[in-house]
Amino acid sequence: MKNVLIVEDSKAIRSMMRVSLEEAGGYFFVEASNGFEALRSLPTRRFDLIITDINMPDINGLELIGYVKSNPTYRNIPLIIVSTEKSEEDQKRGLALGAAGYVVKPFTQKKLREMVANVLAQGKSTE
Amino acid sequence: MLKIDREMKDFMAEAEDILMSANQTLLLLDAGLASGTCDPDHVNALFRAIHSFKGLVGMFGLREPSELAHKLEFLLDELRLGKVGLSHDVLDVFSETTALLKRLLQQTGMQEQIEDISKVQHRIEGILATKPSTDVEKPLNELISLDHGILQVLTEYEEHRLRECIRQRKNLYSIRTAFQLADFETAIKLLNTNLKEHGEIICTLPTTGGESGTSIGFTIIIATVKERESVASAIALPNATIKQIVYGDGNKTEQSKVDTIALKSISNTVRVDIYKLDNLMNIVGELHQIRNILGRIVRELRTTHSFSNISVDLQKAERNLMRKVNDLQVGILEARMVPVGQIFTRLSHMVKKYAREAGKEIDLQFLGEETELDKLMIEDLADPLLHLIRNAIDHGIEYPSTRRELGKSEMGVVKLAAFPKGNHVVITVEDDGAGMDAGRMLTKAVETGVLRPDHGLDPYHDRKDILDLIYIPGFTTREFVSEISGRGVGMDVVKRNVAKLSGMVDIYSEPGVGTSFTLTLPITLAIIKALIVVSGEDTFAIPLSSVLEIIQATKSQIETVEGREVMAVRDDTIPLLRLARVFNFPEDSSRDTFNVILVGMAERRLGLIVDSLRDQQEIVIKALGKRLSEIPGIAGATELGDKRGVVMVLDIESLIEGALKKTAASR
Repeated sequence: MKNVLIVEDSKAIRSMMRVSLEEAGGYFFVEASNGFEALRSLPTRRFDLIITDINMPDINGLELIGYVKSNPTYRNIPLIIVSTEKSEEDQKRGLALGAAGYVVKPFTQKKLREMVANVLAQGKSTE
Repeated sequence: MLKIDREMKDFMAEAEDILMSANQTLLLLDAGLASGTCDPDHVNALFRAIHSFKGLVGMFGLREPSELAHKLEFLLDELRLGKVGLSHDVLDVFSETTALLKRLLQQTGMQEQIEDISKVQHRIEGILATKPSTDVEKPLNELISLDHGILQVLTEYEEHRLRECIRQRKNLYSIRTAFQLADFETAIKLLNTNLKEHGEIICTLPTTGGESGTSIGFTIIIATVKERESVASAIALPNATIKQIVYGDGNKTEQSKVDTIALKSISNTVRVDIYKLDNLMNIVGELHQIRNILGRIVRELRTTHSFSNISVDLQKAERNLMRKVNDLQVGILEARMVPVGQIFTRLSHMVKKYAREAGKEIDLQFLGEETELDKLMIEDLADPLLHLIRNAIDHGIEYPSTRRELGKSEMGVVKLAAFPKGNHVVITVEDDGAGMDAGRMLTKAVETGVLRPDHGLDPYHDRKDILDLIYIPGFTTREFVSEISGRGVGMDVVKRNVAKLSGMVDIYSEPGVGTSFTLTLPITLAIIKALIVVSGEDTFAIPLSSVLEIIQATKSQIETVEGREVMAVRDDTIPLLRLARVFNFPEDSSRDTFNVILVGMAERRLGLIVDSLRDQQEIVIKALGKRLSEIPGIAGATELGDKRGVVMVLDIESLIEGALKKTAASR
């Protein structure tokens, strides 16, 4: 079972993401609707993947990535950024901070599944 | 028929919510523009709303809304990055676009023809075409000395805001603090709220390094025109540090110092369990009893020892004690008081939901939120208030199209107001909707068998009593029962809940104009002054707050009108109620003079006939057990601390109700 943390402020989109990944099977999801909730969820279990939106109020996605990568407990968890085409600059910063990949909204369910599978496979080979 | 599955419904609701909050932000921007300001927080909020909307509709495959939102989002981004300026023209385009987005949503839901969006798209492009070219900007780390790690995680927008503040040569501070993982969210939100009053928060960064596994650190960058002391005063945390960020050109004369905020916490509040206060109040009640006994001893001593030193000293001490116990009581009561606004804000969230479900547009207004009420009572008020509001939205406010036809504003107004009135607090729920038609209610009541055809009620003169029919469970004047009105709490439960708080509900309504429900409540139920009376062999306590007058009446002053006993008191005719009859005690019919206790609340009056009056006391009302709590006429019980032991406290409100009821329900 892979533990996935989804950080995204739209409930409908979180739902969509769950549905896309649930089809592939073998995932356990924890949903957070903002950066604070994500921070609270991080210590609750060993996560194999974090999928986060960039543009969120209070703590944005980049700040979350910065925190995860600088924290010895979490720095090995791969991150996937979800962004929109406009925020190219933010995408770049996210990757520079160490995100493993990104998907751009609107994305297809297939695209998300592929990205997740890729990132998790990469993780395996570095262990 | 399009199958609306759960996800679609959720999506539609979320999308509409976003547009509604976008509209509210537009109103704020408009107001700001009128006074010549443009708050970047509002612009950012609007941007975020449209950004979320775009993401949402895109994921659900709605092409036109997605394209339009995309264009609008681009414009908003240029606006918040300072590349386009705010003007009435620009606001106009925003309004037009959000209105169109709303219509597109509705058209999608109803499977109607989708409107053409090209005209609005061109308008947006027109504005974008006029933006001036931008200068090349110096890298941030040349302008200020800030940790590279922080600069890296700023989004483009945050960077823009920072540059803007640098341009204005504002003071920049970096605040570092840490919280326990268990409750950091409320703490950091509170800190941010406090800081926002002193400046603009550029970013809030979670940090690691140096903290234990149970804590989480934060670095907050704030830009302000104020000095360090102001900002420091807003922090109120023992372990926070605040550091000034130096400008690269060294023009700022302040050196960067690391300051530890004083260890004394500045926050003055303590969290207390309301039941601890209840306990304290019980003790105060007992202190009153002891003081009463002391008072009796003093009086006895006076008769036997009159002016001896001991008796005088004792009397002084007793007076002192009385004052102190009263002070203590006032102090504890004050500690129990909280502003009514607490539940008001909780309600506004539900109101949005109800309005959406009912398809109506609601403007929810609050007045007098700072009015205070006992904490325990406030919790019990939330349900009845919510139901009254729901009722107003469902039965009161008309649909926007109907309101337009009637010449009313499309948004219906629901106003929640609270104000103190002597020993009571009055809370009103008003709406400017259709009002209740007494005539129609009367017809419906006969139709549904609630009233007999020979009820003898006149729609004009007996309007108040007819409106009260609304409290009978199951009564409705709607032609068809909507999903909302048919289920859940009925008006009768509202009334009962308010009565449990020793309160009363009054209805005023005018067809076509609106309806208002007025709740009159005592400020606290904890401890009250009561009049101790005797009827037959039993002793009762009557809350003094309801007692208006005590009248000695003779047999001749009592008249009988339509089978009820009444009495003239100055210009009014007051209905009378013999306490003995209420509780089925044998009456002494030989009496010539009677003690009439005139009680009343709001506009209603009642004369209670008792055998004799005893004294006045401070009492703590205790609730009766569940099985006994529904007895009409009894609010609870109290201990008098002398041989009278436990006595019943009268429920004045239900006695008044019972006596004044003219409409006899046939149920």
